[in-house]
Amino acid sequence: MASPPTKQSILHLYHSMLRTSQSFSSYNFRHYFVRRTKEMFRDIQKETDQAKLAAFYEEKAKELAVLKRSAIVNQLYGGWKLVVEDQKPARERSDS
Amino acid sequence: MFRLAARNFAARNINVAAPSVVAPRLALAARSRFVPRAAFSAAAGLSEEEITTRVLDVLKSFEKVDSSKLSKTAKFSEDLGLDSLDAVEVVMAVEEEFAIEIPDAEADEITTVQQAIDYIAKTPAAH
Repeated sequence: MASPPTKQSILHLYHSMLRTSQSFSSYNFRHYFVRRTKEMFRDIQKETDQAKLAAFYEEKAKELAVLKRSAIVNQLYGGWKLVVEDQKPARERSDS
Repeated sequence: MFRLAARNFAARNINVAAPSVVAPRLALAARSRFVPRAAFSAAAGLSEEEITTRVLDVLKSFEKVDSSKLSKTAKFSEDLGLDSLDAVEVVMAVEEEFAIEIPDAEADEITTVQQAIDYIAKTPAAH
């Protein structure tokens, strides 16, 4: 059995999953994955059973890899921005 | 910038009579003689107060944060009542606001508003 993950490593995984979800270029996908990631980690937050945590960590680490690949594909074929989105780039560098 | 444009314009005017094939080359030569005396770069990154207001704005938009307790010295967990997952989300939001990626090791260190401000201040890529 895998050793139980530390609190730090779960938080790191959470950070990378959120960041990857945020990198989807389609509005709907982006918001869905961000919401899903937040919900999944909230559900497990109170869990103290080490075996369950280890299983969760392993599963989500695999999911992160899938998410990363999907995000790249979505960046290639994301399509246009929806009308509900901010149309212009959020912030431009002042020196470029 | 204006001087360069003026030079190009002058070069083009001189070459009005010359064959059109020569004109681009002359214009190019005029441009290569142009020696900038000052570098065209921004003087400094963000000012301290601009970073502070933007970081505080990011935190204000968090629904879990009690805006009355919000200050520069506030700690995420004790003063603002955020748990560890919320803290990660705050760091994410700050990353997004300043268009940077904070490495995990340094993101762990950020537990107060002031530390977030300090990190942005010492990151040249933040804008």
